[in-house]
Amino acid sequence: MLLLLLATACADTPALVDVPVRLGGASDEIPLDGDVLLVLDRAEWTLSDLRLEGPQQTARLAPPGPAWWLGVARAHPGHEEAGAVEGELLGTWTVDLLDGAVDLGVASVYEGDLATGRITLPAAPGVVVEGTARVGGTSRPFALSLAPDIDVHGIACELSLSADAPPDGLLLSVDLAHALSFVDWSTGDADGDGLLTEADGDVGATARFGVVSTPTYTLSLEDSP
Amino acid sequence: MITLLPLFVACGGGTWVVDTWGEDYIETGIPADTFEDGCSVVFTTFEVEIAQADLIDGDDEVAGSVPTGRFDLVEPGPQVVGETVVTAKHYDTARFAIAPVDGDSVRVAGALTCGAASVDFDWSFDASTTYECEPAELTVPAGGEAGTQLTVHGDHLFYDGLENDDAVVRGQAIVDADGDADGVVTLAELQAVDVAPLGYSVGQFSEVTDLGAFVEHLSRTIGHVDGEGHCAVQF
Repeated sequence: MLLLLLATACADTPALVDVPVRLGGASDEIPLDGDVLLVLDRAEWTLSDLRLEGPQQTARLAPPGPAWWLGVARAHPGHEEAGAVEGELLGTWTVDLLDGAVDLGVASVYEGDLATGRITLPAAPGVVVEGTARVGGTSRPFALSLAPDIDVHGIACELSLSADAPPDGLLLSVDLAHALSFVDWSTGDADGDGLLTEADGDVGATARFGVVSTPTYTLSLEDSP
Repeated sequence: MITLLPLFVACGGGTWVVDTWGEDYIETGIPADTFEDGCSVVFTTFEVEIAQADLIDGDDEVAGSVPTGRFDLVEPGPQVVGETVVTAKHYDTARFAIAPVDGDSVRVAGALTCGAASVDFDWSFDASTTYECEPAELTVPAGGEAGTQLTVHGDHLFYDGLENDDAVVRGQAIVDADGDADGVVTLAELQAVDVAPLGYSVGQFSEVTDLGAFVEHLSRTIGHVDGEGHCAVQF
């Protein structure tokens, strides 16, 4: 009887799918509104612990899924409740996005529907972006060093995984144009050091605002051509 | 109905009682040591329009609803919202809506002080928000009663993040928003402040770009259950 129960339980457990995860690269030229062109020399991002969540459910309507023990995000004060964690890739990576896409590892994910993802942006080494902002006819060198220290929730990831047709991979992309679009690149070099940095005016706050903004990040499947 | 209610209670029903409370933060104010930037706030009005208060059974059906109404949580002590007779058993979900009925859904007024500067505010919000709450332990006994409290957290209005767990309470940006320096910060003045330079974060709510929209969003996160109990928000 015990074996029968075990067999029944195992038959109801979704299969795990191995999903290679890559972090996408980025162009070193970022055109922005207002006749601004950013030419980047460095776009170094540190991120950790990718978690993939299923559709939002309440415990009352559905019993915990197979990955219930991985936890459920319960943000405070926002109260937005993500679905159960269905897969994860743990680790910390520091990557210069200008070097092209890099493999982060292989996530183990239960087959079925995914809805959102979340990552952690640690405080250190954080995010470093260096380059030159061409504003109108003026070139303004900049070097931003940011310490996000925050989880980015709700990254859109409306995908369905099947063990019978596993995807080639999952691509995490960083939209540098969105991340850097909140900075007023005409801001003066307040401390007169010849370089626009996070210490000049609102540059640090506006740059961090974009870096931690959820739409800066996307998750998409990579399938064989 | 009057004659049937006692019969229902006697035959296995119990009474679900709902109250609402704004705790010390709303009744007496939020002290400076709660604010990351040393500000403090005293509310003169904190009205919530409770438009729905339902007890939900395991089939997602409404087991009972209590009469609703408008409550000014500056009034001291928990205030009874209403009560209803339901089947005696364990429940794990209560659903509340704070929504307009005949006017706004939330109105807050008071004074915010940061150092030597102080501003008054009187803000009305008209959003409809449903809170799907998980009481920690709610078993309605046959012939007896059990209660649920919609606890309203006034400090949420001053958080500097919309979804990050480690958001802190700040007030200086609101004081600074008094564009005409008349000592009153209006919602229009908040809406004139770009939120990106403030060091605040909006996470996935990228449509929130000004301080007015930011505070309005926070006004939809004020509901908890039985003190610190969790409620998921349906925007």
